[in-house]
Amino acid sequence: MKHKQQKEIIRAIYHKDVANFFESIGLLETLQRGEIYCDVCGGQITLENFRASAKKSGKFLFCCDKEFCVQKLASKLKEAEI
Amino acid sequence: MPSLVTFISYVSEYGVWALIVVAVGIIYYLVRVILDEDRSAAWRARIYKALYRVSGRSEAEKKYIANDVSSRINLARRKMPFSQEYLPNSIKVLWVESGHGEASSINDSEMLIRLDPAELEERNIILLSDALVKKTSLAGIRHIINEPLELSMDLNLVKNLLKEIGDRRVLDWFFRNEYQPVLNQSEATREWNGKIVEIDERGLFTRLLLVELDKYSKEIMGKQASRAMFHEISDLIEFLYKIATKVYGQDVPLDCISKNIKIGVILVGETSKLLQEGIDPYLDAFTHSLRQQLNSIYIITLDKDLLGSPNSELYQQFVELTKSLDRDIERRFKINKDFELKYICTDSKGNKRNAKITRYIPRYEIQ
Repeated sequence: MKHKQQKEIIRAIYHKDVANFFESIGLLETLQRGEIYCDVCGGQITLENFRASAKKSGKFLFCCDKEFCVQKLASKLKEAEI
Repeated sequence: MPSLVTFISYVSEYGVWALIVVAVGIIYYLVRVILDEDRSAAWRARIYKALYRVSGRSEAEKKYIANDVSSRINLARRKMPFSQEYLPNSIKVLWVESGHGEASSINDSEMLIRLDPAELEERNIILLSDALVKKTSLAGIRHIINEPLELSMDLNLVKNLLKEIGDRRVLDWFFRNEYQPVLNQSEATREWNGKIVEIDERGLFTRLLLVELDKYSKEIMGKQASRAMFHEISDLIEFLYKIATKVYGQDVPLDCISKNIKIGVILVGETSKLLQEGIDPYLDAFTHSLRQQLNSIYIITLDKDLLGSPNSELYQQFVELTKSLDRDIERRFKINKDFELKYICTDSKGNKRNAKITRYIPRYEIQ
């Protein structure tokens, strides 16, 4: 019998929509003031180097586009769970 | 070109019937594509890619990226040994609309990823493979294992997925920009990764380790995570690593028994032993495993190259004996055969080997 695979939804942000995304979560001005930092390496997040975001307990976590930071963001979420 | 010549010669020989056969073939192919969500996504990606190249419109680019990435990952995923629960599920990319109130639609612990322009599609494939692996594999044990082990298992899962995609540019990008930099960050990750790679090269990562970890996650569901649980998992990996790196004639433990993991492995690799002594020693080993109340018993057969010389008569004898071992196990013991998978693996000397792994689940009667 052919098994129907379950589809996992992954939400993505279009590269031209980064500013819109920050605006929709009410943080565009904060980003433009340079006050958003990577939750992994601590570097400043900009429209150009923003890579991923996650919500944990109502708070947004962000990470920059360094490979290591993307890898670690998931672990950050796990740490927060424990 | 030769196929076009052949086609023309068929048409000239069989006339209209050749055209009808070709038309039926094309219709059959199209129906298969339409009914297959992932294949049709691959075709949609080609169309939107062309539209994007011509128009440069963002909508076409978004549709190209979403269809291309999901079709490539999903088709690769289908080639991996299991299609149900042990490996990452298939993927569907949904663009964040970025409208007013978007923040409230984002769930807790959900990761949103900014994808790159279509020209950097390799990077997008890796980003989403990563996200998929992290989101859907190793469910129920991520909170138990430490970060170096988690990273090394994720890296190898992503590597396997990308290998199946079969695009060398994607793999090169992954090794250069992700795999190696992550390993360079920590000695502990390098150490775990070395073990996982050996286990994977013997074909035991997806076919045994992930199967048992999935079973383990069900055993411990609802229990408080503990150091002992991490040790159970690390002991299982050490156990498989010893089997994976075993050299000819070396004795290694073939049972892994802890509170929540009880598995046994029977290696059918010494051809001379099987040919000289028959299947009885292996049946005795199976009986011994049952006496220990093991929950899973794996029979791993490595064939052909282990014969040393390409003696076809002996090889045939070897194949027949392995088949009779399987038949006798099913006839003599109260077991369920969970799966039997044939595969090709690399041995510790780097030689390709034909191999087979069979998982048996014993049925014990409650006294």
